[in-house]
Amino acid sequence: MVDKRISWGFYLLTLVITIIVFTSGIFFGIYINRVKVSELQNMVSELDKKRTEQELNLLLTDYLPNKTCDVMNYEVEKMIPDINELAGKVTFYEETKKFEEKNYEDTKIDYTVNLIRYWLYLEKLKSNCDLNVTTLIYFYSNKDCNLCRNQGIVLDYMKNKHKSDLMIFALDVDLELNSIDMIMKSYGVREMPSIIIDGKLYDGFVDKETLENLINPPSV
Amino acid sequence: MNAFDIVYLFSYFVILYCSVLWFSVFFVHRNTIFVNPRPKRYPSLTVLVPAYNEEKKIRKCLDSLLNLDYPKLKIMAINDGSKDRTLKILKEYEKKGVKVLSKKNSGKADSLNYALRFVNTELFMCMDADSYPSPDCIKKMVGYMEDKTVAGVTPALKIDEVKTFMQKIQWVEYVFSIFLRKLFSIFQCQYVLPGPGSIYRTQLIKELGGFDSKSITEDMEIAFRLQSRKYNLENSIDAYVYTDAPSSFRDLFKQRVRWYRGYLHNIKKYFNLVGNPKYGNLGVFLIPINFVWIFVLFVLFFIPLYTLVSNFMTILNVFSLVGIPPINLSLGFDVMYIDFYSFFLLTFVILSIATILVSLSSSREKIEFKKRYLFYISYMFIYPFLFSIFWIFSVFYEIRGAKRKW
Repeated sequence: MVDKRISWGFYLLTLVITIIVFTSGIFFGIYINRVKVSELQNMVSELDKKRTEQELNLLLTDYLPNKTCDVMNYEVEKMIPDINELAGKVTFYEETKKFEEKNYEDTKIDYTVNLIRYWLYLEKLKSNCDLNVTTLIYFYSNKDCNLCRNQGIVLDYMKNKHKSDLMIFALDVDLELNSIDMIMKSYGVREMPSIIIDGKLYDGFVDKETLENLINPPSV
Repeated sequence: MNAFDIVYLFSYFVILYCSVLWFSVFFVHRNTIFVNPRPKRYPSLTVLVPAYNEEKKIRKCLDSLLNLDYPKLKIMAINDGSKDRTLKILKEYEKKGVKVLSKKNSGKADSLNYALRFVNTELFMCMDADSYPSPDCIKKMVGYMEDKTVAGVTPALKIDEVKTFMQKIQWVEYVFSIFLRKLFSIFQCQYVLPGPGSIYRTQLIKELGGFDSKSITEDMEIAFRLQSRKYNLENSIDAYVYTDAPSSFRDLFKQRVRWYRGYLHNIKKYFNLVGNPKYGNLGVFLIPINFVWIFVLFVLFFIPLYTLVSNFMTILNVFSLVGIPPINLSLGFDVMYIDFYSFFLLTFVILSIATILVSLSSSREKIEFKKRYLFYISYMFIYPFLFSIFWIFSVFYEIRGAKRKW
């Protein structure tokens, strides 16, 4: 019997088509990732705009004849869900991303700077306008922090439960941002996760019950 | 990108490559697929029916054989030491022209070899006692045998009665196999001459020493043996043979583990074919890609399983930390939730649907979505999982060296 034929033509044609479809899929993935980052960037810009406006309002009150605390506190109440939504999307993005996008680092820094500035703003509002919001700073790392995942779950729960009464500022220490280092040094943060609630440091993982008592101290 | 992603992308590439390959072969040959060569003459042919405890099904089988539209036909039934009334029923059919042989129980391959001694026709066809050929089936197949390089012709198998859930899944699988078997025959890389309904040359099989009675899949072993001697195997896409399919998971599991272990065993036996360009597409493409497929099946099984378990662990963890968390479902489209793999998933779904549609048209079946939507859905989503399980167990048993049995 003679040797059998090999259909090289088909194999080659198929290889070409497969590579085209496959790379289209990869490029789609890269494209959609870029769209996501620019979506995050847009939301950060939006946050930046609103925050600047609110800070301006606070500066204005010093020169205005009547106090306008009501308006400002109301603005904060509206703003907190927006920031929470953005924070949720940042977390989701980081959990599901398949590769590092260059622009993302800048967006993340931009986002974190905005968080820190808004924290300052809320602290000022709390002393000037009796704003009734608990502020919570949460230091985390995506690299070497075993309990950060669990702390994140507990904080997510608190966020959903307290809505506008609680503002969580999750700061990623891997960013190596100067201001984050300063806050950490000043409070003496040594381990991850760490939490600062209304100016007091709590080192290590804090469980649901403890956190509940810290946010809403039981009335004596 | 972690290791899972790389493995996923690799598997996707393999699946895509094979799909594109078979679709392009189909596309190029779309006009000739349904054309069977017209036979110049009708060679004499014997149908061999080995039967072991088949009292329930043998009548329907013999009736359909007597109903075959073919001029020079002999029917030979072999009672393989049945303990039930099979022999008695066979005797009834002696009056209608069925030749009946009876011997001690020795297995299917040995029964066929025994019967071959009495066969004096140019060709013979094997038929399982639980299978029923359509009347025109032999006429559609014998034309291929006029080419001297052809040693065997395979029919198109369909499931006779679809009752249980397992049979519904297999119904689509069989329809897909009709399509695939034809494409394999175009590529000259068929490696099974299915038990029910394949046609052979009597002289050639006798010279080769008959069927391998040690093999658990003698219909695959003979195909590999013919391939190793560079004979061609053809297929008629519309020579229908209806067969019984296992109705329960247990029976299907047993059947498939036997088939796939038979495959692995034959690969071991005919290892010189692997990667050997002398054996054409079977050697350089089909057998090597089957190895890759086994790996892909492991991936398709273990990664989803791992994901499922780890998701479950996460849920448990959340539960232990905060109890049942409030669920806030946000409906509506958001670009953030489009997955990296969306494009791949979409092509995947399109390919599966296209495969089902092409298979249906190849086997001349209508879609009948209302009646068969469960068939299609379970084939798309449950079958791959089952298929993986069968393969994993087959490989496991074969490595561990468990006793092969029928």
